[in-house]
Amino acid sequence: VEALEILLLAFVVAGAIPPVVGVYTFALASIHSWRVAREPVAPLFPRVAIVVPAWNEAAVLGRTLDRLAALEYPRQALRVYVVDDASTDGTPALVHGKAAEHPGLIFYLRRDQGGQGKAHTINHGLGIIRAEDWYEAVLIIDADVILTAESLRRMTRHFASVDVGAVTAYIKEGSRPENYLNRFVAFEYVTAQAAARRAQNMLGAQACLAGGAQLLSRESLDAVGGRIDTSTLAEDTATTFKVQLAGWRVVFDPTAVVWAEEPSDIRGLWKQRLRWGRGNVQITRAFRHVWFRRRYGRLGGIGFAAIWFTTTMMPVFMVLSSIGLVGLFFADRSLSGHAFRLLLGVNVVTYLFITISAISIDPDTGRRTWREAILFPGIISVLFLIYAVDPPLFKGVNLGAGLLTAIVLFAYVWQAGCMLAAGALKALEPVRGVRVVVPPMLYVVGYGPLLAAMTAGAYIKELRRAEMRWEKTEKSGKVGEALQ
Amino acid sequence: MSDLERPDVTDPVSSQQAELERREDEHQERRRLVRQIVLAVVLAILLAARLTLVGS
Repeated sequence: VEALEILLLAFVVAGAIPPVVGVYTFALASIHSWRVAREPVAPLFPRVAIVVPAWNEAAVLGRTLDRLAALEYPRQALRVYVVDDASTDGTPALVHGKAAEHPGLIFYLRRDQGGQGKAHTINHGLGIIRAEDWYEAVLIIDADVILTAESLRRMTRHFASVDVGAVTAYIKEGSRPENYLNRFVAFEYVTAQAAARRAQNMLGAQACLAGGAQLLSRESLDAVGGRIDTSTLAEDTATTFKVQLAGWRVVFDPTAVVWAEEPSDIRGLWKQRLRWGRGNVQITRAFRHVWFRRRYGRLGGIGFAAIWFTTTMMPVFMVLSSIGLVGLFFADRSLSGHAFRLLLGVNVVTYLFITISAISIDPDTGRRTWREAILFPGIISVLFLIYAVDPPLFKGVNLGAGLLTAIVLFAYVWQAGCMLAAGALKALEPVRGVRVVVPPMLYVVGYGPLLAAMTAGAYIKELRRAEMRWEKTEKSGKVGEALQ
Repeated sequence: MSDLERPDVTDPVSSQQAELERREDEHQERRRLVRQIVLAVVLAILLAARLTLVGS
């Protein structure tokens, strides 16, 4: 029995690993000024070929191209190649119009046989661009993103370091008008991009060049075979790993801001994150020889692995903590109470530290999304956290012993059960008459649990060896109206 | 990118401006850290005050 209790306790402690790593990540991000002070940058304007893969993007592409034409960058050193993946809408006409408007700047490339996905489309363009031999660096962007005027020159300045092979920008959620889900995503990007990528700058290893804006030097692209990886659903992450394993440094510039439109409903978000999650599982497998091995440089470091695995294995930690708590409840109720208070204590510190740090890192987004920041774990979990900090607040609440036991058990099950609740919201979203309660219910259940549920969904798809299909995230072109 | 050749074009940013921008970036990062510390201290004081009041 004792051995079983120790095992169950270990499960609960495992549940505390992600919050501890969260604090570690944000602590690193906090001291990013140290990195900025030491990063050699200088105005450099290499000839940049911008690759824009496009499949039926007529609704969004025009503004993207106009913004590219307005970049603070020497015109002679810039070419934009729209690679049309056999679009059937007005994309070709739109690009030809823009090419006539900006002669020598915008070029139209077309694949007659489309449908293979974004990575293949990019590679078609890269093949032509590399054959032309004009470029010194290549910037790969999504068709819907809006680059701020100074973003490209802020990225290219990092090539002043001879070891920098690639640079990624800060992708910000830019849907206007925005809805509740856009605000959750906006806050998530502060944590997952602005903060996590600063931390990765500090560690000297980046997990992912954001697919929406990734700048690669000619040499680093050559080093990975001149092509984007097509073997996984996370082509940007695979390329990032390969570039670093080839000996190049990859850096994140938080001042190079790129606005993107993200999904406005749970189903759209689920589809996008299932692809990312499956891609991450594939990457974990494909680069299994790299993890925890310092001979692969910073990518093989413990710090980087801690951040990678706590993100990609979040559902596992959540399930373990639930199993541990429920098991202890039946084995030794008093011990389960102590373990839960310990877990809550760690979570409270993490929650407060991360929320404060995220709002400090990007105050503009913090002002827009403070409700979503506070309710990121969901109202139910926040109530548990408040109880952990301030139990006397609940002193007046008189519950019978039976109800109290039920609430305690619910709290234990909720550690993982919140993922099922988040999954249920996705199922309810298209149901007429019910969908109206989905947004408020997401605040109750939490956006964090939704992210974990989508990751769990990715495991299931991957285990079932579901077909690897590139499912495009639908964009309506509502990004940037307020950002001009 | 050691062998990068600078194209013969007008620079949108001079070296001095670029250095000023870099310093501004550094200051911004420091300001963030200060903001973070101030917020954390204020929150800690509020929490401590609440717990002390309730405790007494």
